[in-house]
Amino acid sequence: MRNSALQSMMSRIYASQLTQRLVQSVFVLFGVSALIFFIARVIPGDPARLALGPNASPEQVASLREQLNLDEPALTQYFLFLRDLFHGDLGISLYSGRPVVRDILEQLPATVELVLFSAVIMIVAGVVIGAVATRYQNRAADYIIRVLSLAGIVVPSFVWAIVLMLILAFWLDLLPIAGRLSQGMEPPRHITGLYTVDALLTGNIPVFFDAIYHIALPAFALSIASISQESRLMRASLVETMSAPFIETARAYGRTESWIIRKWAMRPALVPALTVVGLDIASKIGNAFLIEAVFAWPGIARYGVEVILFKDLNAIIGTVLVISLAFILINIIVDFLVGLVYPKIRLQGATDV
Amino acid sequence: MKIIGSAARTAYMLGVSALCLGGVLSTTVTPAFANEDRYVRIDEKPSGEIDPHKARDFADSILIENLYDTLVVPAGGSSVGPHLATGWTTDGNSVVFELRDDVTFHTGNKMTAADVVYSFNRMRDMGLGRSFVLGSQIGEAVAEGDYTVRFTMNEPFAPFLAAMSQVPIVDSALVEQHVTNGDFASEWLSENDAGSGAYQLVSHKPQEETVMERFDGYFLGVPEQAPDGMRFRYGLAAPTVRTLLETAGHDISSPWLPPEVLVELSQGENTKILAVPATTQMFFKLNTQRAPLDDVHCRRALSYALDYEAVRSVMKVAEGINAASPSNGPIPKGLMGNDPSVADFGQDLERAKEELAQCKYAPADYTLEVAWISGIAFEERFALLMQANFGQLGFNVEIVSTPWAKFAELVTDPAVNPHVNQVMASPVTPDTDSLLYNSYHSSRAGTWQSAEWLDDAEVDRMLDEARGASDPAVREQIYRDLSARIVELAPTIFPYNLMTVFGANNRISAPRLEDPAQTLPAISSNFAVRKMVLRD
Repeated sequence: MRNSALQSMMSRIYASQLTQRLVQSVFVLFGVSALIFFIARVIPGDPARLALGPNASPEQVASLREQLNLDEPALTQYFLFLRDLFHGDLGISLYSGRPVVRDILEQLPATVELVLFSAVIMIVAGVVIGAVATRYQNRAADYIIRVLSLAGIVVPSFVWAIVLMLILAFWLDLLPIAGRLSQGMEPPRHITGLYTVDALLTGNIPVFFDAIYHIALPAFALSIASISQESRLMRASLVETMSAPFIETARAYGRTESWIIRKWAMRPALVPALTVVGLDIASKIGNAFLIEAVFAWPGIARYGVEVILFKDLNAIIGTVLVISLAFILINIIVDFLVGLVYPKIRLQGATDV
Repeated sequence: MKIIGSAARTAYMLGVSALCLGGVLSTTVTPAFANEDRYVRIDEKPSGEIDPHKARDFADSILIENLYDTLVVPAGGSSVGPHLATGWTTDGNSVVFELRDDVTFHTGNKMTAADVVYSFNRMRDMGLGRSFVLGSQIGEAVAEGDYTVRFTMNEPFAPFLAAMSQVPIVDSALVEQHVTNGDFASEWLSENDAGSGAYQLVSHKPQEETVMERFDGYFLGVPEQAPDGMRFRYGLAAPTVRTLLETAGHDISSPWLPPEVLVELSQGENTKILAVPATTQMFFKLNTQRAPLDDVHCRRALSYALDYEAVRSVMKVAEGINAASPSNGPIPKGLMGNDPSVADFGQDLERAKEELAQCKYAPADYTLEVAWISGIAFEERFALLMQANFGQLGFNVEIVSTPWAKFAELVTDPAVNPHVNQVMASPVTPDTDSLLYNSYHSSRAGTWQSAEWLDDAEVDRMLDEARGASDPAVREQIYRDLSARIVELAPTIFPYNLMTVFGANNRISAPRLEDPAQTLPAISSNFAVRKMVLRD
């Protein structure tokens, strides 16, 4: 009875924490929307002129400005934007000529799929490499990993992308160069927009493998810097944990280093890595644009850059809001995952409330 | 050791999976490529607009060229030839077109005069895309029977026929079905096709790819050796295009590849470059309203000081191929009024100093702002060159990098408009008017195209006169005189005519992009896929 009362109290505390985080998130999004709304208007150039092209007459430009409410005071424009936003309308993109919501829904899944695959590669490789470096601390393997990690971090991802493309696609002809599917292959029926997931859900195995075949290279290129960072972080965290008194106890019991790493040290060491992984994943949604450009990946990161250059106000705000939302959601998820991996933090959080 | 063991196991499993994957792919992916062997792959900057009356950019023009038809088409130089129209007559202040009766749209509907009237009205009423070519001089369009259309002019407008080469004809019955709340079916037509062109739409993702396939009912027929379809891709990065061209994964690049990639492609085993003489020209526009360039002698001094050869050498693509050739003043080669005897000023520092001596300003008192558009690397090199050349005359030169959007804003005010702007421009229609009127008529001052802010009554008179003259020989002479007058006033430095250069795979043959005798002035017209040949 006492246990169930405690559990019920903990659930209430979690629910309260979650509600608190969600309410905070709404304010954050509201702040981001205001910030980006006004910053976007500082970028030089008349969006109507850019949208209509250099040859459009002044009358055409004036008419579009009126349509877009660009002649209204900035504050009025912002309230009009908020009004439409509450109706799920982000306006029309001047860049594509289509509703921004539609553009985002079309582009976002491609980036989400790319980032998810990249995240899986990053987590698996980062943890394994970090563990190996710890196991062979200050020995040849550790030094080699250190040098490679450094190279992974300092060389920009698009350089890796081009190098990998040259080696794996051009010289060895193992992987495709561009796109999400082979030419002529029909995408699977749209369910999530993630081709691999949709192909599995619809039982379309050839498309599933084709999608994997196409995503492998860009996802790996996107994950290289993060693998390096995660593995360094993982190593540092593991080395610190391995010097803790409870690890000495395990050693005193005669356990092997590998066993200790896997069974005792890994969990607490994962906490800092997990937090960084979360931020890394979220930032990839916006930072993937160079990889998307190199591999002709039709994602929202590339779209985001194009609309900024085009001063497409509605699309800029829409894209930034989506990326901000991803940051917030992933951070919430990471916080709860950290609690799961290392209950001590969860309990600390609970008692702080 | 166990960790290593587990890592090794993981690696082993991954290896086995990769092999299985390879096996599956070899049976699933290859057939897909095979089906697509006869599609030509072309790329351009995003995004692609397929509503023919909203289309504006280069990518859009190529799409529309293949999906739609127009009454007349460019036929070399400034002339146009019949296409959907079999011919036309001038009747007082009207132009009457007789239409072909064997044209069907992709829906199977017959093209009639009603479609022409509908298309003209839709384009003008929407006021988007290239509707600016439809000057206010053009009155109304009326169908006189199924295959006759009469256009009434409000006043004489010689560029009318050339303007009609920019009005794609849509299947009015189909478009009308999709009009909601007076939106001209704009949203629908941005995702669907209502044309009669040699290719019909299969799918369209404006930031990713547009796919078209051969239309067997095309009224002119599509030759057997022409591609079965086109994949038009958006936003491929230069290294990607280079790799794809080498591996036959792509056929024709955009014209925006950097010179070093073009050099590689010109030497590639499977690749070539296509160099198209175009009516595009580089203009160094001098702000004639801002001291010291409001004095014609200072402007001429700058024109004589520039090292033209050095400018053109920047545009060298490969041994023997230079994208830049000497210009003939304001009217590019191939357009009405081009005078081959007009040469650029050429670098002559002695004459530059003579002109400067007549200028009422002392160069040392002024800092010239020379702008270049951010992101266009070669323009920065031109700006540096101008800094060196103009500096020889004693001017201080400040180089200013401006994004296009900022440039378009600065240019509206002559007081802050930089002294020198670099603009690449080409005529929108095959008519010289579409380039010169917007550049030099005083009523058009203050746009990107008229950054000179020229205000000269003689120039205005000649431009207006050329618009009203119906006799081509008279127009030719007016434009030649106009060209001489503009060179004399030196509002612009004309460093070169531009050759447009594309990278291509050897399997594609595109006569209009390879044989100067077949090349048309409007570059997009050279991308008619039905005129291309794919080698197996």
